[in-house]
Amino acid sequence: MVLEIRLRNLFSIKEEIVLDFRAGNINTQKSKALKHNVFDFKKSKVLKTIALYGANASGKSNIIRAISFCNAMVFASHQHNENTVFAFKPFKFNGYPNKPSTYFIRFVSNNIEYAYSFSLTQTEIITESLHYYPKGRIVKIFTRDERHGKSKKEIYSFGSVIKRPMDVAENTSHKTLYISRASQMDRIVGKEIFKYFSETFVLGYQGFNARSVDILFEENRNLILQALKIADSDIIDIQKRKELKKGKSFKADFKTNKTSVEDIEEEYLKFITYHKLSPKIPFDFNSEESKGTQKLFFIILTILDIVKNNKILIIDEIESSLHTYIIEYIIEVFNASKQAQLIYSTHNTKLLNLNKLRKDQIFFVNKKDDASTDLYSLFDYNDFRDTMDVEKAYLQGRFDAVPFIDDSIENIKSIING
Amino acid sequence: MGSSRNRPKGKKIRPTFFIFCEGKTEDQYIKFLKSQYRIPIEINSKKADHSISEKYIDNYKKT
Repeated sequence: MVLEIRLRNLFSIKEEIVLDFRAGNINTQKSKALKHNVFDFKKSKVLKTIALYGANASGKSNIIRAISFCNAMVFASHQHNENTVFAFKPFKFNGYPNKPSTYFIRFVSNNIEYAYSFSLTQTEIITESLHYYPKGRIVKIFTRDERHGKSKKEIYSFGSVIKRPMDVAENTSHKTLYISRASQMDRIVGKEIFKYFSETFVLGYQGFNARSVDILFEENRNLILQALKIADSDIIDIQKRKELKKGKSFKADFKTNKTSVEDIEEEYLKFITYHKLSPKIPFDFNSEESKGTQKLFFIILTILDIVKNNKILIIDEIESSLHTYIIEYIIEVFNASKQAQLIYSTHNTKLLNLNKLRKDQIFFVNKKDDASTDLYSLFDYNDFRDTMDVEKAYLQGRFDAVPFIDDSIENIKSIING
Repeated sequence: MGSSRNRPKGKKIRPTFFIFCEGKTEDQYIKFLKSQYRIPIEINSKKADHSISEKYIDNYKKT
């Protein structure tokens, strides 16, 4: 579960922006009707989904890129070496390339809340810290500040959670996050955090091996079928079959310099669909169903894995090649989950409806005059009333975050004719 | 939880401005200002000529 993310000086983000999953105190009739959009965590409510709206080039994708980069740092920085340059760019203007970039995330793993942060330049880590709330009160696990001196003792400060913490510090370079190294060096809390970032917080749709597909399909056949019916209302059934595929296996023996070819039979999963018009005629899913239906099938598999295991999914432009009803269905699947969460960017204004989303679930991304990205939610507006039409107000530019287009026929004619 | 949701920023939604003018020149002038200052406004253009009266304005605001 994620509770809060703060980003500063990453890509088009200049000043700190905050993505808050902790539900606001909203007591309107409409928000009360949306009780499935939140779940309880220790007497508080947490949002299941957050939507990012904004014009093209406002920075929606950069927010998702920044989160993805920072999360990847946790599960990949132990592989860095002296020549590593981190795969992000700081804000390009106003002297920000020389300032550190920062990431802060408040999250829950195994029912314990953690607050983790780090700051870095493109070439080195500057600060890092991890705290947790074992009994509701904040407890330090470690802090790191490379500006405090040259020795590891000056740089690091530890609580009592990690065993032999200085051993890990001695093996952590300025290119590596301490938590990443702690996981590699078999420290329990390090592995816990690493697992959260590498497995629980999912960055985009995933690929699955045949075994996972088999299990997910078996467990969720009806749900998958229902989703496919939305994509193609003709589909009435989907079946799985294991078949053997003939193939060749090439072997090369480098000791004897001999090669050999063997005939083999491999087991593979085949999906067959049946349609309303002739329910007995099978369709091969891979070759006879539309690309959109096939894509939806694998999206649904990812979402089922997320939802069943209470993970977090982050998706840029969720509507990419999907019908608006399918997007609504995906969001409903998250709303029906226990604690799964979804962060998505979208241009689908049909969802801008307070009968579907709470005010604190709707975020606007706006490009400011200095070209930096600003982020705020509808909850931040204290003069917006539930009776107002959010979609209409958004498209009218009353929250900013819309493109500036001079679409007058005279202007377009002048562009075409020069 | 260690903390609760951040306080709302207290933002104000952009107000609706009605500018009633008589011809196409004024309409183009507003569009020019919109693109020059990147103002996220919606322009509903309807040529009213000289018939802009109190009644016309009230009726338009209601739509």
